[in-house]
Amino acid sequence: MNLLLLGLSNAGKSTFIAAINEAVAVGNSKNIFSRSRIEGDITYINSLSKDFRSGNPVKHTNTESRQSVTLHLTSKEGHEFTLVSPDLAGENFVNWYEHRTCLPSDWQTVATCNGVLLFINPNEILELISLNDANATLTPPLSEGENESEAEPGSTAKAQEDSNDPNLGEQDEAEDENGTIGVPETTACTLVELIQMVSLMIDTRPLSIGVIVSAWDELDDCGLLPSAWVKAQLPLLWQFLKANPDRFNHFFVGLSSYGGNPDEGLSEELLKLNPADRILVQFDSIRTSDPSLIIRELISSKGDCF
Amino acid sequence: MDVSSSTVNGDATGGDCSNNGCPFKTTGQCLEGLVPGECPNRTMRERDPEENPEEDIPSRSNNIADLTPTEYRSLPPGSEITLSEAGSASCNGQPIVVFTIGQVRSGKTTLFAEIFKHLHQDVTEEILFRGSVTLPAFLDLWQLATIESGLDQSETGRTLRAQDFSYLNLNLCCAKGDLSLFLANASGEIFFDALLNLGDPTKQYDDLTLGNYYLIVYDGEKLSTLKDRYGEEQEMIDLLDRLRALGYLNQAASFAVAVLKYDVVQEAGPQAMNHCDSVVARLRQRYPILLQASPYLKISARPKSTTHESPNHPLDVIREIAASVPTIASSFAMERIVPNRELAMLANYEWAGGSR
Repeated sequence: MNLLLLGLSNAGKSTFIAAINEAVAVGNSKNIFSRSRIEGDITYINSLSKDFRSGNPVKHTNTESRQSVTLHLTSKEGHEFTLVSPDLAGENFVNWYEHRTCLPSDWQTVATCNGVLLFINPNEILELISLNDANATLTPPLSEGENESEAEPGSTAKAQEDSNDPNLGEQDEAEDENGTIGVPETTACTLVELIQMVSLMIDTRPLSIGVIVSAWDELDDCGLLPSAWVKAQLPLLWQFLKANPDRFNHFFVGLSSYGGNPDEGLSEELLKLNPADRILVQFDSIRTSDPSLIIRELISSKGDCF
Repeated sequence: MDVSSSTVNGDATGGDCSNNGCPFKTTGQCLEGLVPGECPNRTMRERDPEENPEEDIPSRSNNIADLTPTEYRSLPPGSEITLSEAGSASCNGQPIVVFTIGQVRSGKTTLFAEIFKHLHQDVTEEILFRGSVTLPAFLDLWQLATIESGLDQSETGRTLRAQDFSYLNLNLCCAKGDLSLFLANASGEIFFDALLNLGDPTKQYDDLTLGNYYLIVYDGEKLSTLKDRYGEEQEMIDLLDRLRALGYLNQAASFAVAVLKYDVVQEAGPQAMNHCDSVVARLRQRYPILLQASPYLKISARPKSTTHESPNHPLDVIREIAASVPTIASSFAMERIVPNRELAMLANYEWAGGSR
């Protein structure tokens, strides 16, 4: 079973690898999967795990990186699974959208996948705004001593403020040197386009897609379950998946791999916990700390292709 | 999405193919089976001259933009398509070619842009978005249409492609079944040309004859203005007479009439609203066979007041098209719009809405 981790930069793809590796390693997932062995760049996985365990944000995947992590898992029924997750940087996917091209090797890698996990960072949703509104929302540089106000999760403003964050390359590019928005894009359109592109590359029909809303700890109080949140915040994506049952099996899940925001430093309470116990997985129906349930859901949503 | 006519020269930014019937633009597959660098007919999307390539390439694309055309695989460009390309885009759902007939700056582009906006921002249970091969083109259109100056598309820098007509694609799931709409994004100048016989006298607008649904649009602002309202009414009649005389209207298609910018009409008062009704009534009397049973929509696609509510929503256009599907189905001829249908099937792509 090969999984494609799809999503824009900073959406939680690498963190998910660290989280699931941790969960199966420490046995949190023993009722679902146990880990036989790992293949791939062990240094890379160790680096992810080290950051994850210490509560630090995992390092951004380099654009040129073509890391592939292979986890050999055994289900509680004794079935063996090979989980191959090519960890392509979000910038690669942005390149697909902006340049309408992709590397043949990336195409080939994606073509071997038979399931997709689509990651969404709720703090970096680009909405459909007019050129005039976009220009109006561009914040001038803060003067010295001025406090930067925090944007609410899901706000467009936040996505367009983090111009100093090297992980947000594609957001920066939307602004030209005059500070105006150049490349038209919205998160919903980009994600729908990416799924459309991926469905060109992958033969499996219907294709299983797990839509993962990252940083769910920040949305935990919003009163919405993951599917309702996607419907409200990214209706185009929600419709696209719902209206294509012949092409996609899909489900929605909220995920907070750290249980809090590692960029702001995890609380003492969280740091006291075993790293695998910090993980928060919110399905529409259940809440758990086992991210491997996401894999199981992906498998159960379409049995015959695995 | 601009499409330049320059031949491939290493700019890896998607593109088109001038080879008639080649589905490259839609599917990324070459008709001749050639890789991009080998195909002499391949054209590339031109890089914005404002861009500084030395600064832009490393930051935006890292490796992809540095590659030669033989080192990458093309993905569907997402720009507007022609009808021959539409065959590759839609293998599933009822294909419907929609033309809006109206004068320059009557609100046609804004209407399409607002339909897209509502699909993007709202969930309407009876109309679900299923995909599109022209999503980036919709975003371009929407942004152009929202420039505060309200300039018509022809004045905002968008140039029509050589084919005169380019199409936006919307695949929708409706109560009556799946639809693949191809919305003709044609400038009002085309209709003005046809009306006054201007421009190249040999030029034919044959695409118009392939319409399955014609939406006749009036500019409500003009119909509400004393000095413009008779001109608006008469010019539409002249235009339709001319289009019929030239054989450009598919008589078997469905028709609807819409008064756009209806918020201005409502603001002008009951007299203006009555005048609009009279104009449409007279049009129906003039073309009883085509228009007698046609829907009449009053739409403010982008009202000046945010609290304004017009009688019809922009998505009502889609609802009316969906409602007319049984009528359209009897007149629909896929062969007419897809000369390379077999090729499209061979390409075996389900890009946005199809299935293998």
